[in-house]
Amino acid sequence: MILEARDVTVEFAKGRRRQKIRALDGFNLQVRPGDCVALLGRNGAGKSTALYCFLGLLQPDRGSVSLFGERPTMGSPLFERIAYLPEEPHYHLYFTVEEAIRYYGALYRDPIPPRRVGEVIELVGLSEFRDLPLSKCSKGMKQKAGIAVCILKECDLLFLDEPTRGLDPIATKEFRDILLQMHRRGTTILINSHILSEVEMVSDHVAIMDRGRVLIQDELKKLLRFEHGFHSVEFDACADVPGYIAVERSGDGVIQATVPTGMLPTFLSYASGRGLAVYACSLKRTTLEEIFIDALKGAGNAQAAD
Amino acid sequence: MPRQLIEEIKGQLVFIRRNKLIRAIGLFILIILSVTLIPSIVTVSSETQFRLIRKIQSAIGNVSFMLGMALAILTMYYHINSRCIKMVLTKPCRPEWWMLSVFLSTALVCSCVQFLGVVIATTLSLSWGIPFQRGIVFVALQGIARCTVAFSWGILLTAFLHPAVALMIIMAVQEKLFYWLMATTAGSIEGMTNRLRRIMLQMAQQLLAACYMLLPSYSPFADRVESVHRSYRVVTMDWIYLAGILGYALLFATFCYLLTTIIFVRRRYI
Repeated sequence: MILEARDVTVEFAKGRRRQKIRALDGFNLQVRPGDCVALLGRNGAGKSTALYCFLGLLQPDRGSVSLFGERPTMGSPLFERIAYLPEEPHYHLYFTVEEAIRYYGALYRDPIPPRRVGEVIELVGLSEFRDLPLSKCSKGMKQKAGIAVCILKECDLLFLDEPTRGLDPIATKEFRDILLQMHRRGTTILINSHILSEVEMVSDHVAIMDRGRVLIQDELKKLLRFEHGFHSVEFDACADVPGYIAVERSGDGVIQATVPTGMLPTFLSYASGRGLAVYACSLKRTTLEEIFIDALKGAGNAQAAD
Repeated sequence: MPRQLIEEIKGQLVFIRRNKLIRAIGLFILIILSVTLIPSIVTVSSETQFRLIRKIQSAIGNVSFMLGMALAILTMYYHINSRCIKMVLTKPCRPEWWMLSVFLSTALVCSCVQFLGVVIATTLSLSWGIPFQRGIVFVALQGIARCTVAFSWGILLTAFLHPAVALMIIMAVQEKLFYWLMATTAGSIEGMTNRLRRIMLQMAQQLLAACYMLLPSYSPFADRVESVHRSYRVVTMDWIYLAGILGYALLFATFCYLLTTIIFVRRRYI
């Protein structure tokens, strides 16, 4: 395992009475080399805390964390092989874009050539703003600068905390392409995100968290299975929908529904008989959203999941 | 010295150069100095030239002292509070180096200000026909030691306290205060007849003595080297005292550095 957490518990004392809050409670996670794992969970589920434990910024109260078989500590030589993109743009805002990237690059044992700094600035589309102080950059620009720092050096493990936060759609697409490219080259990625569609596009493994522990960890393709008994259909809206059609959404003159596979011929003859156009008809596939909500319901969060 | 440490120091110097609050403090000090010293330079007579040189160097020494303290507190507070330290701690660069860079960059700035004092004092001396006195260098070196103790204390306190609280402690809780309190308590014990009160005062005196011993001394051996400040004449014994002063500053800075690093590493950066 490239990354492993065993029964990790982290407690924080909060408020005036220093009441103890468990951010992680028996947290377990295993990541193999080359995996791209998405850590999903509600706000306050403990995703960022888990990430901080892996980065050595937080030492667990109980349990153990290992990176490349070693306990991570701040500034450890392990970080030669690790890149990290923080959730909030916690950068040295007194630097310009170029100075910041050069500074972070200079903290590696082997100095990053200035040519490479220029390359990554160009790659993330910040060439025009290289002399702009980070304090004057927009959130998206800061995020781009963070991405530039991540790709500055070839790394084996990449930690991303809400990576596309503040990015415009084009920058998001470009970033996703960079990620997929890195993943293809064998970089292990741990991504912490709320955007399920983004997770589906990038990751191959998913770990769903709640109340400081992992509820489900599996391959995405195993989770996003086809439901052989049902078909998803999309057709023209009509007034009297037969009972075997389970309407999921309707609007703009279109109905999205689920039909039992056995009833598919009946549905098609019903649609052609009424002259309704069928826009989509495919075997139903469980969505990540459904898996996420089911996992939370299973963990006793019915209200939250609803 | 590892390359990363040099990069860290360069980074700290950029912070110092660009921080608006530090700039404002610098500008304020410069204005105050100009207002108080320029008229004296213009109206100086041959009798008061030497006194003015001492006054200028002393003022620059005080600037260095205040600036060092401000830099220490602001550097620590900015990097911890804005959480940008996370970006450094998640790179293969030991936190000990980062901490050392804070100490060294502050020391560098303070030394530069002290050096400026030496240059100004020497230039004025030579231009007014006063022979160069080794005391100018002596006072500057003593000033560097004083700054080192002050900013080390500031860095240590800011590692676990709010900067405002740290500043208040630095300003208010000084060894001089405890020395005075000890002397006052000793006087009170002498005249006390009530046994219980006497015991309580003795206990208080012990407590004050402990505080006095624990608090840093900004100017150790100050009374022994006072003549150098007055005359700028240095005898061999003064250099020995200066070695002691510098040794104390170095020892105290090392102690603060080690303790701050321990606190710094044990903090949770989230």
